[in-house]
Amino acid sequence: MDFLNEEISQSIGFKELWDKIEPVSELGYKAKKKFKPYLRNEKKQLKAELEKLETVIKIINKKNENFYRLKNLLKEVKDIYGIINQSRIKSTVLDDIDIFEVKKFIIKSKKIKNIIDLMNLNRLFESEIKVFSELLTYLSLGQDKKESFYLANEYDKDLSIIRNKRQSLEKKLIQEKNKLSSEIEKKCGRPFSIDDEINVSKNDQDIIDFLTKSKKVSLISENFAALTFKLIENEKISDLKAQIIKIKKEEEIVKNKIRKKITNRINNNSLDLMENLKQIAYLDFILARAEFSLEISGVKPELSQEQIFKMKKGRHILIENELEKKGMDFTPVDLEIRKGVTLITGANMGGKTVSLKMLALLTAMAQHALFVPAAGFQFNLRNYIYFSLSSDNIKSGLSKFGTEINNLKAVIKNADNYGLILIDEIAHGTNPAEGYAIAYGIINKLDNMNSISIITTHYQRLAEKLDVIHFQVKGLDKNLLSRYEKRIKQNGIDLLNKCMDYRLEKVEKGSDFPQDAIQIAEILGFDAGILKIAKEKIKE
Amino acid sequence: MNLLEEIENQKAKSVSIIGMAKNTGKTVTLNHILKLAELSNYKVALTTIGLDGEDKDKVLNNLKPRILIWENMIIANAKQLILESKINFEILAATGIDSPLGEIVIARSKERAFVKLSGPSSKHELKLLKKELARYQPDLILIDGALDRKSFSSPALTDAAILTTGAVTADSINSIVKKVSYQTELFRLKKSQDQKINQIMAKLDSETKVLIINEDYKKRVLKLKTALNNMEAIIPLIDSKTKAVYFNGALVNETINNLLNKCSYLNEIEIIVNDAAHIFINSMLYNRFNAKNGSLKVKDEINLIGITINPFSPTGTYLDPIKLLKEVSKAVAPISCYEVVLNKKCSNKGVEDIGFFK
Repeated sequence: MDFLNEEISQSIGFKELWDKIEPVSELGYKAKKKFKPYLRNEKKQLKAELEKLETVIKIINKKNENFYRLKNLLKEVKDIYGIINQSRIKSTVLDDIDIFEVKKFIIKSKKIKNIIDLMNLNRLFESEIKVFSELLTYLSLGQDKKESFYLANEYDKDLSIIRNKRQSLEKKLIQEKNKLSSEIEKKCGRPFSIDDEINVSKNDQDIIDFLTKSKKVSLISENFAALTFKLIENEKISDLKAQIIKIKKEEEIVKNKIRKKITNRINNNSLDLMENLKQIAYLDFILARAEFSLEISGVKPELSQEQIFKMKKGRHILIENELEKKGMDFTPVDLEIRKGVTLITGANMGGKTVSLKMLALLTAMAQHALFVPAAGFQFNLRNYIYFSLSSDNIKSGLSKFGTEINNLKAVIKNADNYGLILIDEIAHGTNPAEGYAIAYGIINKLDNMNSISIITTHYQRLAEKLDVIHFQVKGLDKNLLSRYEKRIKQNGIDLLNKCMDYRLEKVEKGSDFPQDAIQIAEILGFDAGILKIAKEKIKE
Repeated sequence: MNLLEEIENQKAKSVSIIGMAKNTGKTVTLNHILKLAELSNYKVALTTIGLDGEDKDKVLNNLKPRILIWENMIIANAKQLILESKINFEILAATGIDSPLGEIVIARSKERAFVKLSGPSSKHELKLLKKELARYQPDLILIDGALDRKSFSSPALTDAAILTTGAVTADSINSIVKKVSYQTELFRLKKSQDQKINQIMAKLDSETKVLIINEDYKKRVLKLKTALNNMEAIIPLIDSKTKAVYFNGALVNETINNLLNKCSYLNEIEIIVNDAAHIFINSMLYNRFNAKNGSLKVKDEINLIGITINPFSPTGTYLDPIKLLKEVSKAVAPISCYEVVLNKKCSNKGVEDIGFFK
């Protein structure tokens, strides 16, 4: 079983939150994509990771201006794994743009190192970010140590000789051409085209006369409106051109030899370069997680040795945001559970589902090495999270009950493998008598397995018959209700939300359960006779 | 004045060369300006809009490199073309902008050579690239552009624009003149005279597809994917209180037709588009729109400083170059026209030689 499958991730809101964590570099994104949640056997690693995150949060919380400089630098770092990898292949020769990218990366690495030293962030890494001074000097031969690259003459004596030779040939060629063309260009008042041609309108008879007489050009085409003359290439010019072509080939061979040398140098540093890439990717990713944790005012989750969960004032960030938009507050929820089954009962609209999703979400966040939105969160590492999907997620075409049973089959099979199993409205997709019986069986089984399960239900009796922990949603607040009663009668049920107390309270055996449904019906002015009978029926 | 002097005169730091169609002599015009710039010791940065898939093969396999660059000139070009050119370049930046021929790279040439160029394909990327090129403080940024609906390689991005046209656009001198004079008319479209509207326009983001501005300058953003398919939803929202309607993207015949036929307030409002390169309506419709007192405005004006003509078409037509030059010039006055191959210019002073050497 996966730690958290796509559908559950979406349904509890984790996917949406995870998407909000945004590294700024390609590398950081890759690190995020590769990231796997910590499982039960990685307790030490998760603890260390959360401590690192705490360090980063403390540092960036001080509104450190270096933090913004660092992020801007990270934005400009490219993922050059591919290039470094290529340098390791014997036959590869990196091209100038690849070499440029490596040089740029080294310069950026150094700048990043300087800033993280200033920010005291270097303790995140076991080994320091490397600076590659020697390689940088080599990549800067004959040029500045700035972010550009040129295969300068300084790389090889031969290159310098060949280039000088070529340049002098080119100079000669231009001189030769000028000798031929300058007089003509002056006379015609225009330069030759890039094809060494001059086009003349038939209106310019004097120029035509001049060009026709000239031995330096030949007429190559004519139509009713214009004539085209071309510069005659003398032997000297053809010879120079041929020499230049030849020497350019030699130059290219030498350049490739140098590129191979540079590639080898990069290869010699390839492991360290890759280590830097890894460190920078990690840095970007942890900065993104730290910023996110600050944004949600998260606390560091605490890892517990025993199979218990203690959530204090937990908040479901997404639902909290939704409510905020409507001008409403989210009621933080406390919850303490342990191995075995915990039941939650309570009125509809009482936030049972939200509480389940929240616990799943906080657990998923903690195991993805994030801080969690709560006043405190003590948890025990899980190998998977299961959350029963409500009917709107059903794809398979099975009935609601069929789908649930199908899912539960897999869950129960894995229930000895330290799961967090959250089942909303157990077995309520079928008839009440059978539903109750099946629920009874499932709870009985899960309670004795090596997982932590929470089950919400309307079957109040399950709590009485089974020896499990039982919570209920506090439900309608009597004081608030009497205050708002009149307005609710006038304005309808929207105001009822304000009277709900979404907190969970532990229920001892034998205590009454709140009869919110009947009370709500009463406030909404439902038929008094019916309600009277209903009340009597419950007493039975 | 030659074209470079015209650019100097306008104090333009960036110029785009826009072809009305392929084979209107864009590259010849570009080389002409480059030659003028070289003679004046200009530090030039050069790029082009991208190729479509069809052109990709052409550039790779057939065409000879046709643009002459010289030492210290800066170009933004696709990686593949930079590498295969074997020209000595100093690599200055890799922009992260992708193209069919690889990432767009900025490089400084270390020698005089011919290149093939390919650049970014969207207006947005071109804008970014222009900014990047400006970091190297060139005297002039040249952008080789085109008028088409895919890229809008907007001439409004640059301080000035040069339009290239020619025999390829129509069968006769008369119809070429009509086409270029209509295009010029569009390029002359102005911003709104209402400064408050222009202020609203300046703050728009590229995501806004359609915007209605009312008399109290209240904005109403319509969340549509395109204006084109949603005219039925848009027109009922235009009423006596509407001052202007802004359309992001291409303004096409259908849009104007819909407005002409169904919008009763057409003569009371301003239609605003990004710039004239986004207008793809035919001249007949445009005339009808004007006859009904329609008012078309742009968010960004285009500064058209010259038109070059190419009397050749690839089908073999060769029109009388001087006659074509004179006729086009007459129709687009006071903008000067050029036939750079024959080194002729035509303005209100008549036909003269282009002054090359000072």
